[in-house]
Amino acid sequence: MKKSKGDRALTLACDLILILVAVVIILPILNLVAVSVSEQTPVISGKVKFWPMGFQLDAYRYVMGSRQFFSSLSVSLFVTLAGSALAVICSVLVAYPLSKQNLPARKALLLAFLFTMMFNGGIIPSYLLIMRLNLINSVWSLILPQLVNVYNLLIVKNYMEALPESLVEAAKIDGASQMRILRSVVLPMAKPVLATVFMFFVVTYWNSYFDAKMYITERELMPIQQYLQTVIFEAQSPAGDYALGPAESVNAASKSIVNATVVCAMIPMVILYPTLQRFFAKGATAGAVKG
Amino acid sequence: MSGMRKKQWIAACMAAALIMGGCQPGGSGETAQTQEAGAQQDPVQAQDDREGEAVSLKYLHVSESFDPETDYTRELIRDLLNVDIIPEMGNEDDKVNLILSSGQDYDMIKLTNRNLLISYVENDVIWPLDEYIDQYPDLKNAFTEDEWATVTFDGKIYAIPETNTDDVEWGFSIRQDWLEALGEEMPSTPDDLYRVLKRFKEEDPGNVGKENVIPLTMEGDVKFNGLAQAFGLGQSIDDYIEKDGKLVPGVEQEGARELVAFLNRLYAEGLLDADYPSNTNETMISKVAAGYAGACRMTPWESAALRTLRENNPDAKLAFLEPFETEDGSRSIANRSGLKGFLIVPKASDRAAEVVKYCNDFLAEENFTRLIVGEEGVSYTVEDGKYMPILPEFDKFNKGRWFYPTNVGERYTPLFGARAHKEAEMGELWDDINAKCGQYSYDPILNYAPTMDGETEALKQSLSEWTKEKVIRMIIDPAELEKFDSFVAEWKERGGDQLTQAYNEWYQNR
Repeated sequence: MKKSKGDRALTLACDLILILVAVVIILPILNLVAVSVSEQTPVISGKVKFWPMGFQLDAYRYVMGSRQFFSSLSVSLFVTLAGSALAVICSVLVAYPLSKQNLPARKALLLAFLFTMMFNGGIIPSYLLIMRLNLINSVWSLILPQLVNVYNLLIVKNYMEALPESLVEAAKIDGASQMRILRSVVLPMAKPVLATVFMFFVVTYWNSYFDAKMYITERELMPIQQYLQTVIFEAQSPAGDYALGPAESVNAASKSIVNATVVCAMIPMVILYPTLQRFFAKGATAGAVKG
Repeated sequence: MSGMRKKQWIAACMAAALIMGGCQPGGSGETAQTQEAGAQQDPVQAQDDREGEAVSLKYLHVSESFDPETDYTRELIRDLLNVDIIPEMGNEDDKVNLILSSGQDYDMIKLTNRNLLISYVENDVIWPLDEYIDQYPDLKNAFTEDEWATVTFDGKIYAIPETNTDDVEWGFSIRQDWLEALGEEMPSTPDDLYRVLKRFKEEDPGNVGKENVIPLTMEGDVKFNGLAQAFGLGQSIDDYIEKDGKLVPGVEQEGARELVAFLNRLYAEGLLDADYPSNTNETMISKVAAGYAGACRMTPWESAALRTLRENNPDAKLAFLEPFETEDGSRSIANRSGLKGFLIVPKASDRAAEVVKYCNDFLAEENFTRLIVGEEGVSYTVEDGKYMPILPEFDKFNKGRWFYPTNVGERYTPLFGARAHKEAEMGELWDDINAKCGQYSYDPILNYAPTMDGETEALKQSLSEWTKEKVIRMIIDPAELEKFDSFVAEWKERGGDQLTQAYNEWYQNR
């Protein structure tokens, strides 16, 4: 089918706008990376724009050069992957029954979930709860509190409600159990939404900072975001009384160190997004029911 | 078929994630317990236990990126003071609130926010320490009455104070090589400064291109330590000063108008950085490092900027100025003395006596220097009365500050010099600002003021932000400057009077 002139103009305009938006997003990141690998002199003189001037990796060595970086990284990876996987499982197990119209007391249950979305106990009760559960200074204090997110739950539930009921009925006629229906019929069709909420959980867990701040005081359990915060704190106060480190050994501007930190925190997300993206497009249910 | 593979793939990922979690230290409750049990069997620890001497104190302080468990200062404290610090990190306000309200077993917590101290006293979650402090006259005498007063409520002492070094942190610096090229002396009055800046602009003594010269640059703030005093003010425009036995606000002084008018004139004539209102310290210092700025307001911590400046121009000389002179020829500049932080003992701890003893022992003559800079000839030397580090041995003490339970600024300042001198340029700048300004420096009275009630503190905060915005606007816009009187009236109305009254109540009764 040939496109009309107007269509082509519209496509061109859209492309241009999107390219502009992309540039606006990419430029700061370029600057960030350029500063993180540039030498001290041009950085401190404020001359680095989008291309590195000189080259050093000392900033990265400073950020990643300690055992703590890798121990924090593994804490964060564990919390993110295990947390997101468990959270998706929980979401499915709660959302599927809630998506069934014939569930007894469905309205009341839904309201109960919605209630927690609007009102929560606040910091103190949460802290006391975590403390009584003996989870202070345990990685599970970083995972459990966020395991069920009502917003994500509703997304999954709504998606499941929209799935063709006739497929489920067909499975029932073939003698499938409820778990079997969930596993073999509903989940395969729900892949796009599962990928979406998995991504949401990954981002939440990866960026999560507050829980660790409250519940963790032991260094070996410190997640990466908290560690990076301490690095930034030190880099920005080269003479801060706490932080006067062996400055001579780091041949990089404090800004480079801060930027290297941001790059480090960004990389896993940059890798993950495109990997999961293929799930978003697939899994359409069109054509699954005939006649 | 491919669905099957995907399923296996996802299952494998989840399994891997769980295994990784299990492998990493303390990843689950179980491994954490195993580790703990392992630590108890550590022979060194066991030996300590046998001797039954080392007192262990669980200590919470700020989060940092070093490992306090294995830090040299921790070992030194154990050897010298027989105190085994159990270090834990993260003393954010909210967290400490929760720790105290839930009765967790910390023996001592270092804090900087005095508002919290009041609320802890009111809620009865920390120990009063008088009876222990009274046993140690040296500790009692280490701080002045004003200093003790900052941590005293209803006649009882609730914390061990830590006072700041009494060096000068903020001052004005100038390109000495530019002055020399013009045959000018170091400017000593605001008028001198104006004249010199004008010549910088017109004659470009550094040959950086006239259009590039920024005669004076500053961060977008209203603190002018070293200049404001020449107009009879404190270190910032809204600072309080002592006058006729009262505390009076700077904004109400005639000098405030003169200072703002002076800066307005600099700005209007292009002598003050056009970006002044939006400058952060970083953007400001980049102009100094690039060699475009003739003068600036800065700290001695900008060693990297000085290095960069010299790399850009090997002949560059950056020197601090003495504080500017008032009309009657006196000079003064604020140092950074006062309360830096304080140490509290939660009610959940039964070691208040041990904590206070630790503070006392830390400050004792025979331990203090040794714990901070080590041994003479090994990790530091004294040259011309100045403490200098011996590297790399001195690096062992890099993070030591984290462990200090308390500190006495006056005694610590010369030792801090060793730290400042770890970098040649920083040492140079620090020596320079203190050589020029040290003799004129004073302890700002408000550094000793108690924390006001929550409402007054909030008022202070919002008023200070409002003042900053207004004053910057007056500096860059002559039309605004004409409204100076209404600015002062509004300042008073917005809570300035209330603040003045609150400070004076403290000042008169202290």
